[in-house]
Amino acid sequence: MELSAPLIQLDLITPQLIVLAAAILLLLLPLFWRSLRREFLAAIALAGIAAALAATFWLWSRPGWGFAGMVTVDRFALAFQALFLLGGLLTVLISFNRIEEEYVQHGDFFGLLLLALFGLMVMTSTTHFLVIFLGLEILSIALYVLAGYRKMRVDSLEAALKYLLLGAFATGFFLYGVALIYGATGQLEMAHIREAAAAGGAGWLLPAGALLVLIGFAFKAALVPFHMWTPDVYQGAPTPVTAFMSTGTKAAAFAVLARLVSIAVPVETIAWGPVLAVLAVLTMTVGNFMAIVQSNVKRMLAYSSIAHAGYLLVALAAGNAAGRSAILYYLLIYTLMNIGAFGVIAWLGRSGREERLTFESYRGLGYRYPFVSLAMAAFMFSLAGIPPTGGFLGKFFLFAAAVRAEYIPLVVIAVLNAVVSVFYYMRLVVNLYMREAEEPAEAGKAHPLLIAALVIALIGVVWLGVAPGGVLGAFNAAATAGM
Amino acid sequence: MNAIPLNFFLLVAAVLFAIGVAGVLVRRNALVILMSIELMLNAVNLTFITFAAKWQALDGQLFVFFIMAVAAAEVAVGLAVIISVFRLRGTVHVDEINLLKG
Repeated sequence: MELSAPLIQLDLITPQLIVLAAAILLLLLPLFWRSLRREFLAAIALAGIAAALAATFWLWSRPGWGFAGMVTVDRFALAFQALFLLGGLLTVLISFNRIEEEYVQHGDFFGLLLLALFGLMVMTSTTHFLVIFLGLEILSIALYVLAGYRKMRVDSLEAALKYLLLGAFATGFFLYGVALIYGATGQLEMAHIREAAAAGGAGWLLPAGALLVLIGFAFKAALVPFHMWTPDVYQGAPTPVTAFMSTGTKAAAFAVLARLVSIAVPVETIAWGPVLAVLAVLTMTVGNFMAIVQSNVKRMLAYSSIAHAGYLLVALAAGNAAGRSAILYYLLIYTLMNIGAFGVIAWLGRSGREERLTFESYRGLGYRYPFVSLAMAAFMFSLAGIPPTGGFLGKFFLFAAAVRAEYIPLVVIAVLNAVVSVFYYMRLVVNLYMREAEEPAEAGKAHPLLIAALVIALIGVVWLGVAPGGVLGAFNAAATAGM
Repeated sequence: MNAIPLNFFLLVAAVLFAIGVAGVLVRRNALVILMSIELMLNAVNLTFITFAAKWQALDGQLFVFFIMAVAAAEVAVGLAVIISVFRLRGTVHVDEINLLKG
């Protein structure tokens, strides 16, 4: 009897391996050398991310699949990987602020961040539910710890506890859904599930399972009515962690959902359009109207992040390649502008005290700190979707995809929602420039790395709003790959 | 000897899952909520094993091992968070851990 060795294509997962190696290095090094500078630890993290990014670009021209169908590295996966790595890069940079100063000296903060990044990359570069589950949990467990990283503060621990309990609860739904899909088709790989479902009538188990998987990811992506944890967790978690969670987790959830609705369980089994459209309307409207009444800026951004998930759902409901490409484009801009905005919040933090969290505490900063205020204003304009920023163009592509799929009423509701959102974003800009401060505003000297993050985000937001060409072309290629 | 129909196993699993969900929604002690989540995951495990028997395939059983391992990791982090909360607040009652609202 002959045994054939399984085919192991390690080159396909080079980016993941690099990030994992950097994470392990960051976790182990401080055990041997206790007095490592935080700049040195950040340099390891940044080098790892940069190398992984280079490997991702290298793989762009040689996509493939391996590990007996467990790993699928198509351009869709690679585009998302590049997006996560950019988010991770910016998150490492904005960790250089006064509040985080006390604990980012320890390598495990960056180590856990890179492990979360590794989880994101594992989760998207596969069409097999077992690997999706493993990636999701690598990500989630690292994030539970990171959310509670300010362990002497009650609000941070409360965020960690809520995130953990609801995250694990959501995982339960996701897994039960996968179990039902497995029961209906006997398969765990998305393309096989589709074939099995098409071959024999799968009955009600398949749609039931697919809906449970949707619920599980609706928790992760903070879609209404599964969003209750979001504001509390985003407010309580350390600011860089919030920035990472709000962009990376959302992007990964949408990557899996896009694959679920277009590969595993196609529209013939479930009418995804109406289901997702209803979720989109709820998510946008609740997110925007709750954001209006907030007085805490971090909490406002949490509700705004719910609203943005709603806009993304509009394109997902469209269910076409244009929609997937628009989702990628919007997620890229969203990563830049949202981490940028959280970076400004982190910058303005004062040592020993909390960040500037109310709208009033931003009064009069506009002329005292021209660059940071300009950046914040640009991010707010972009989040509101005002040209010439990337936020406008991104929303335009999202809604155009839905128009092409003839979801006109949905697009009308989405545009009205975007108009409502202008109010609370502009409120912050008005406070920056047009209100006098009662006490002179004071912010510390910013770390050069944090300034670098804001410059990157600012350039990206403007660039993507003016010259979408190259990036959009790449994302169009990604959106059609493997679907 | 009569074999037990597979549907019975699925029914037990569904009931267990529902009890777990109800426990998460109704109980207010963080430890009990964590236990209810474990109940949900074990219901999933039972479902997977039953379907693996139905399809005469191993991948369903394989999935169960992964769920067990991951659930153990999750509980380790969960208990650490709960202990930290208890040290600061002296309670693990989720209704009393509510500084963040709005």
